Amino acid sequence: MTPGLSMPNTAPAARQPAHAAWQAAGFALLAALAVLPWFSGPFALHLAIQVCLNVLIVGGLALIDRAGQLSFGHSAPVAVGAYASVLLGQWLGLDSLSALLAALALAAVLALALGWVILRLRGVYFVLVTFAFAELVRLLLLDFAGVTGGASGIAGIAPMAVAGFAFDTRERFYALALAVALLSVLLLARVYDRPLGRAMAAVAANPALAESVGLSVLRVQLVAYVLGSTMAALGGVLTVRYIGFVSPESFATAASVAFITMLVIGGRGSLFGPLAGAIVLTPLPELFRGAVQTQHLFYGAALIVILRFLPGGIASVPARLRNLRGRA
Amino acid sequence: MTTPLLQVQGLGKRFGGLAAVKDLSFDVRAGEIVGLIGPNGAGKTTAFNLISGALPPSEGQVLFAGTDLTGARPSTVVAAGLTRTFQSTTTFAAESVQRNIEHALLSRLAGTATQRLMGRRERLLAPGDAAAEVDRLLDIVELQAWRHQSASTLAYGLQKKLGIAIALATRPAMLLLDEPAAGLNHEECHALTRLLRRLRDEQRLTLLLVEHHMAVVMEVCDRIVVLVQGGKIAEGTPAQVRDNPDVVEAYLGAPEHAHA
Repeated sequence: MTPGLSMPNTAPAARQPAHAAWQAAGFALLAALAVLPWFSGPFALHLAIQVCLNVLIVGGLALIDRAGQLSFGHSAPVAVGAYASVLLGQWLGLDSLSALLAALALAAVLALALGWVILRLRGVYFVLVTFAFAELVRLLLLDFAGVTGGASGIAGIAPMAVAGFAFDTRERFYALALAVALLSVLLLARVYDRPLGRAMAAVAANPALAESVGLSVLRVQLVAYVLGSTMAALGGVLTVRYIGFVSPESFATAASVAFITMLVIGGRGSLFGPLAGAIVLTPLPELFRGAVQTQHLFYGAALIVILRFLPGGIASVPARLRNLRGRA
Repeated sequence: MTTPLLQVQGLGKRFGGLAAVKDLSFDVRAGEIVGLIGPNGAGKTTAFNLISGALPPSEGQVLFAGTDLTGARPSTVVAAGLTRTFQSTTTFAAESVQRNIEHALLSRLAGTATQRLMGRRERLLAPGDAAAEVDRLLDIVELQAWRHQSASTLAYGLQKKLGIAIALATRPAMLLLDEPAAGLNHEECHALTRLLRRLRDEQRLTLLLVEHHMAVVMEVCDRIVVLVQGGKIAEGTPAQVRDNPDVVEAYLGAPEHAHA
């Protein structure tokens, strides 16, 4: 994603047209893939919606990872967004859009407060604390049954509606999810390309040096953490508006593991990593619904294969192919 | 006489029962090159970390250009105009030489979210001038020819130069250099001495260096502060320090240095 600077000097002019052609072909394929679900029945639409929501949520995780911290509790902000939009909507009598905004604001404030404390931890300590926090959120949702409905959750959640237009069919909701997923990728592209995004990369690459050139590691990571958590919260809000039901079961450790798996298999450090990971991994458990256990088998096996043979993830394949052809 | 640029007053650091630095006081005036020397374990690097904000001091004060920087975070110290280099070569290893310097310019880019987030207000740079600034810095350390090479593949001496360029990119008023001559050969030491002089004379920088390499220290420093077991035992010009009997006994007279 950093054209020019890191490219070797071997005749970039000669390679550029072919590169552009492949890129155009890739985008055309993605566009076709994005349109197809509308003509492929409810199951394909359902899968496509899940993919879009995962692109958004895993995009948030990628942003936090970009600044050098790996969250093992990314299901927590998703849960906060989901429950906050429903409960705030009920208590304050908000419409779905105002409830969404209120939920995002709450998630951002929570991430700011939590991040201020835990982003001082590094490496495995941060991973463990985020894991513990996500479990805490899930247990609170289970135990305060009077408010949250406990294990039976909350049903009958009204669909998303904006200015009187309800996204109450799969076809309509897919349009919304697709737009949000696309915007999330554009947001990441914009952030990565700006000084703030480069500061994130610098902080991740060498925190001590970044600090000594005037980049506050804490502040840079805090921005990434708040932004990434808010993206996850938006994913949570949209998920419950789509499903119409929410329970703590959706926010177990398995969800956080799935998000990390998608990020790693899609490609850490690559703009299209979350997209690639969500597209490849979201359908797997849905296609093998019969045995819930097989989901983790597939995820585990895929993780091992990717880490062994393709540490840059699926999104690094085009660059690898280009390198191979360049050498030949 | 004007107020010194850097004032270190009664600085101390204890690690459990061990006093790594105790009651250390010295001044550095604008435009000076000052050396901080001492045998291994004298507390030089600890003193350095206390001044640059990498460690909070147990007692004492660090004043820089009239601002109290005691216990401030490194990024705050840098924003005030005091930047350090590292003893081991420290770069953004996977990135090109040019990108390394661009990273180091980020907190100065006027009007960007990053600059506002870091609260930096001094010595800002218009984003459009960043490329020219990278050129200027590459010229100073003579790394133009390597600008597209990744930092990790540079020869050791060049990596140390890159480390200095990265520090210069923050546009400091004063540079703290942690053993800049360590690991350099004879020729590179000469080049380093010339570079340090140029930084002072042409860039109007004030320098404080921790250094083991006596020839470099004696040649380049205006004044030298000698640390032994965490405390200052002498301070003066290179000639005064060399002739000071306490220094000769505690430092140069130590058995492992007798034949050096």
